[in-house]
Amino acid sequence: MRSLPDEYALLARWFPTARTRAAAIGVTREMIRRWEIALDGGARPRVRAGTARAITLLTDVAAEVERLVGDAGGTGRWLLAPQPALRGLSVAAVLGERPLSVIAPLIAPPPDGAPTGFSSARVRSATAALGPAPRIRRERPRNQVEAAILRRLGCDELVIGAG
Amino acid sequence: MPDEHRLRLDRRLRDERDQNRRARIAAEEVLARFNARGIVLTVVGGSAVALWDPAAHVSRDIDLVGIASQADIDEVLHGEFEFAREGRHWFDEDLALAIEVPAWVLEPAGAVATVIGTVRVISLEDLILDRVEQWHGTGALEVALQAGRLLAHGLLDEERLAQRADAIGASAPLEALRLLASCDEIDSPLSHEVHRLLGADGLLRVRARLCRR
Repeated sequence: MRSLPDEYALLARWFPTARTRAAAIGVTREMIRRWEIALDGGARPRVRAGTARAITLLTDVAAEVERLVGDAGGTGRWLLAPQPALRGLSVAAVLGERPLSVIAPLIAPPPDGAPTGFSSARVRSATAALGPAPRIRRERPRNQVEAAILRRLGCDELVIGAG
Repeated sequence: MPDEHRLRLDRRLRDERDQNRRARIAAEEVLARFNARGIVLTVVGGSAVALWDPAAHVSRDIDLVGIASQADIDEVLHGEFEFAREGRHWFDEDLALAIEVPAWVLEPAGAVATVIGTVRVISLEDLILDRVEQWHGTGALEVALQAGRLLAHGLLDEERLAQRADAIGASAPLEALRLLASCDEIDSPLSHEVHRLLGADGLLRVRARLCRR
């Protein structure tokens, strides 16, 4: 048994009702109700390890799908919709039970054919005429956590930029 | 006792001082371990710029894209390479390297991967369009300069670049960046001015502005 993962709090974004949260995780509505009463009381419920993993994985998938479709509600509905490629099961239902490679084509179809390949030497010779690259300050804003990590790594302030 | 994969990475990086080569070596080692688990990841962002343009001046983080759960990533980067984790970032202060897996799907839409050596990386044309989109969103000089150098790359497939730009609706900003990159001197005010002109009046004003120089 493990503690209910922190990611559980994110699920309401994609699954706004207890019914949809229960369906997405694969537990009963009564279980969801008990967890949420416990959370409201400041306790952290204990859940099966598989359930904890399913919740974490569900938030990973939902975040990426929302990034691509730009709609949190639509993301939740898609994750619960029966999929022809899964013979009527939903993506949420198979998460954690089958490898991610099974649902990957539903999120992004794989490209045709194998990728082209170049040797490192060929890339170097193809850029030989470019000369040295300029050293200039990054203007795009950078995530503060990332900027802090890059400073800890001793990264040049010019490429960290404003963070 | 450190994991064998970490020891191997340490050995390969021990005498390497060039930051871009260090990042390439780390990408080789890390991607191989993900591949061993059936997880295919592709280098994107500034680290992809450095793979295509080894003289590029970029940061010490490697951005990877591919279908992988945070648990999978943690098992490799923490479990095998002993990187520390902070949020969605994994890093190692001794190696001066950071790795992030910010997304599952390559951008721009329809982008494909190429392989340089053994490292899977976003294709040159799609990387240019990624830089074009970032410039189109911000006007930032650094992405304009990166795109300018990549547009002069000896391995660029111009026909594919034009097709892809058309497919994602980026032909106008690509053309504006080409014009900008052809200027003798590019600075931040000029990059932002061209960016504003493109947004307000389109390519005609960009052409008129840059042809006066």
